[in-house]
Amino acid sequence: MKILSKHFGELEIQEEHVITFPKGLIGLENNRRYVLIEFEENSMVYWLQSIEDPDLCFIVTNPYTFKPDYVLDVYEDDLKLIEMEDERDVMVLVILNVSLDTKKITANLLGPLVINTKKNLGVQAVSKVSEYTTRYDITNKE
Amino acid sequence: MLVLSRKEEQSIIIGDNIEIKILAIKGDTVKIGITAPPELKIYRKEVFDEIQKANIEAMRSSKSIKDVILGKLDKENKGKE
Repeated sequence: MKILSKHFGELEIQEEHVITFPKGLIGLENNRRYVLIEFEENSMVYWLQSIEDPDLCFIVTNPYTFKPDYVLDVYEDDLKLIEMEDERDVMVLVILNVSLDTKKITANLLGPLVINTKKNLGVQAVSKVSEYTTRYDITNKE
Repeated sequence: MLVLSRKEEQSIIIGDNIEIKILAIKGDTVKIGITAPPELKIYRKEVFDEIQKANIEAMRSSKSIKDVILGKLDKENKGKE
């Protein structure tokens, strides 16, 4: 099917690549269907593009690339929503943001995206780890 | 909205397995104890608000993040050569 994307114009995507977020993302509950588009080959960075609204597009990445000790501790209700049965089917991504003044890239560790790759179901979970914030500086070396 | 008045040590029961207890009241702060099934999501409203705000900002800034990331990736690639 053809979709309109924010940064690539019209794209041809396969229905089986569509990831459904049954509850949308937090604060954006009306849009539920997204696709992941690789940013650059092997960069581990992706576009998360809504297939319903071209303007709804995020840049997401695997948190373990910059924070190897990232802990995915989320509520069971969120995992039930994506019908998770086997941890190996789970892909974790975090949404990136940029501070306009410092140009620093930050990651939202508090609201990770958890995707069941077998069923193409996703959820923006809420982390139970209290020290995680929505603005973790990814260049931060601890 | 249902409004109930409670004193310290008093509780409210919601459904069959949720209890909300007022543990202490000090100045303008109320300490609340919640007993509920572990799968139930319970968090401060600020957490939800913060994630929502971050999502909207991230959506608006995807173009500038792209530029910053591409700049960074280019630098890394050049470093490898």
